[in-house]
Amino acid sequence: MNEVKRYVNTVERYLHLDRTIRLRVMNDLASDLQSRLDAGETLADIQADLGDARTLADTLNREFADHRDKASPWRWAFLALAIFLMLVLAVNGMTAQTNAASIGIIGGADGPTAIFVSVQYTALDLLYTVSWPVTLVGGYFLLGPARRGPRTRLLVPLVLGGISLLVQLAWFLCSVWQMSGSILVLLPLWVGAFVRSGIWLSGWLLWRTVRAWRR
Amino acid sequence: MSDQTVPDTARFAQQLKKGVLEMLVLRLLSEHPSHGYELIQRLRKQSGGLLDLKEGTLYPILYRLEDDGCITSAWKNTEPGKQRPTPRKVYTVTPQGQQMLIRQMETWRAFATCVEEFCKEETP
Repeated sequence: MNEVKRYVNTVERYLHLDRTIRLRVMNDLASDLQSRLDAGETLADIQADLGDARTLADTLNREFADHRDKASPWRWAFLALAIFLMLVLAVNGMTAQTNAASIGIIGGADGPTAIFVSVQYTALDLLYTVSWPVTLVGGYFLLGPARRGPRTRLLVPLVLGGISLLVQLAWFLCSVWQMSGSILVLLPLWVGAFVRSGIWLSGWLLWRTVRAWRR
Repeated sequence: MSDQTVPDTARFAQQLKKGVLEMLVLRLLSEHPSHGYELIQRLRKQSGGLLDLKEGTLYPILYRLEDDGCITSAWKNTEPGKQRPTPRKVYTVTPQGQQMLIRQMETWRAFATCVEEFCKEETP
């Protein structure tokens, strides 16, 4: 029974049809495969008649050619924004190199602790900045290449989204930790830090990826 | 018989099947409601194996008919006696589908009679 379930899941994975048709096909297929099993057929019999899961999915994709699930055009917006941010980062990085020496001197004048704090903050800040284009690249994969082919392709947005979320969460907590004042003053600052952190974007990416994985 | 004859014949038979399958599915469903696999079996049995359909060919016909309002589908328990019955997606003909079937059968009869007339003549 588990093998049949796996067969059905694999068919669904390779179906590149829009959501409505895919749901109809999967409902009918589940009903008809159950009928075949009840009629005494085994998975080997089903595969001999319909072909393996990939072949069956290819046949269905051909038969429903008018209902092909096209990759989302939004993927290009994600990719374009990621490239733009990376270019900005590269330009900023080159500018920062010239300023780095002066930061070191100032830090050194304040003492070793100041250098340590300054370096640690810069590293997290850099990671946080990089996490934005990383999340956007993950979004591009989710809406484009990961929609087709084996499910393992979803590992790309899953890993990118996971790493980004961890970095952004750390950055957000650091930002909140450094703030002081009454709750009324802090609340809008926390909200602002949350929006700037990008947690919402990487969270969305992870949520959509997990949903696609479980489908 | 040339090598080209067999694929040509197969293609001709396939085109004929494609043309009549919608009517045949409606005809079978007008006899009694069925789920997809049952339709495949009934088509195979009543045609003596000539109409050996696969699910991938049947579903587009069913969805087209359903979208046109000729049939409806519902999940039903087809084995009431069974202890843990699994529901099946059962298709039923609507009154609109019955009307469509009558019209299609009239067209088919006129078409078949016409083609028969041609076939009666001596082939060159």
